[in-house]
Amino acid sequence: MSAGTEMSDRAAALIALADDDFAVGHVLTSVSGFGPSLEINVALSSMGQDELGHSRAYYAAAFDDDRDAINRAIYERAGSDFRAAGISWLYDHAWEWLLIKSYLFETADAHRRGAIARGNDSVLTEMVTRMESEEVYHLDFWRGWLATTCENDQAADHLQPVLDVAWHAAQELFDADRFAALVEPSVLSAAAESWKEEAAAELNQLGLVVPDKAAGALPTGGLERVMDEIHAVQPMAPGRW
Amino acid sequence: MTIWEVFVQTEGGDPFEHVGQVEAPNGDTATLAAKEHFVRRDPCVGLWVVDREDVRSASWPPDVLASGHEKVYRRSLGRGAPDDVLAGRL
Repeated sequence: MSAGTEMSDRAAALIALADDDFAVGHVLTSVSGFGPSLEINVALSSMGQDELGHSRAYYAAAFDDDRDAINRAIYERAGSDFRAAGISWLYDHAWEWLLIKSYLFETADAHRRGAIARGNDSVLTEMVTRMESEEVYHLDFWRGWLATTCENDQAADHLQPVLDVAWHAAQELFDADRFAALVEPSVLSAAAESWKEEAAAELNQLGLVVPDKAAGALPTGGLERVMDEIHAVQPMAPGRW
Repeated sequence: MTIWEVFVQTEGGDPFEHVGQVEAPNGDTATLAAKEHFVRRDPCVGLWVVDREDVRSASWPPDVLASGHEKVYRRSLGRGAPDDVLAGRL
């Protein structure tokens, strides 16, 4: 899609995918000083930059590589026009929130990308296939740290209340309305079920229990905070100072 | 937390070379840390982490460890070596 033309359903769906990775990537890079160790902080920053790169690739596909349109989409869109899922905006420094959010996002996103890769959009299939070598690490990182954190009963007790709130919210990542132009709703729905089954089994094995219903609403404010930050950064972008 | 020594193999067949340390509670998380800490920009084909506690150090002082170059008397000069050369061996 070029600037000034009406947005196609495919472009809108690509932007929704991009917005999820943009929100997750921005938050990861921003909290990279708050992880429990230097080593974790280095990884948070690196994974955040990976996600921002993936979002850039989705935006580029949506806007036919029009750099001005991509920059406008990132820096000049109103917050209310971003289509990321609520869990993607979650912006909490606490390790239990970051860990549960990232585990749910990465495991769900892996199933979502798998559904997209099985579709007929060869450009998109190639794009998500290229992302896999980085995404494999993200998945291993969050699964590994979740397992390690759950080895301590006291730490696991901090994770359960977060899971009680975040589990159902994460299912928005498979929202058919956002991605119908990229994936058949039945394929996306099957991917969601497969994710829920696999993630619930893994979480149960670690001593965590997937809740029947949400224990409350996700904390808000992440979207507004990200908007404030990117609008503060915009004047400093290359070519603007 | 445990300190893990990190070794990287740059290309297949190359020896693993020590590149530094990371701190992590177990081998799995040490590997995760080492990957982003040491090879996020430079490619490699192999990555090892070794618990520092499992490294065995020689306890000899440097003059014992570095004594190898003084073993000239082990050189076999054969018959007919000049006297000054033979004297140099002692």
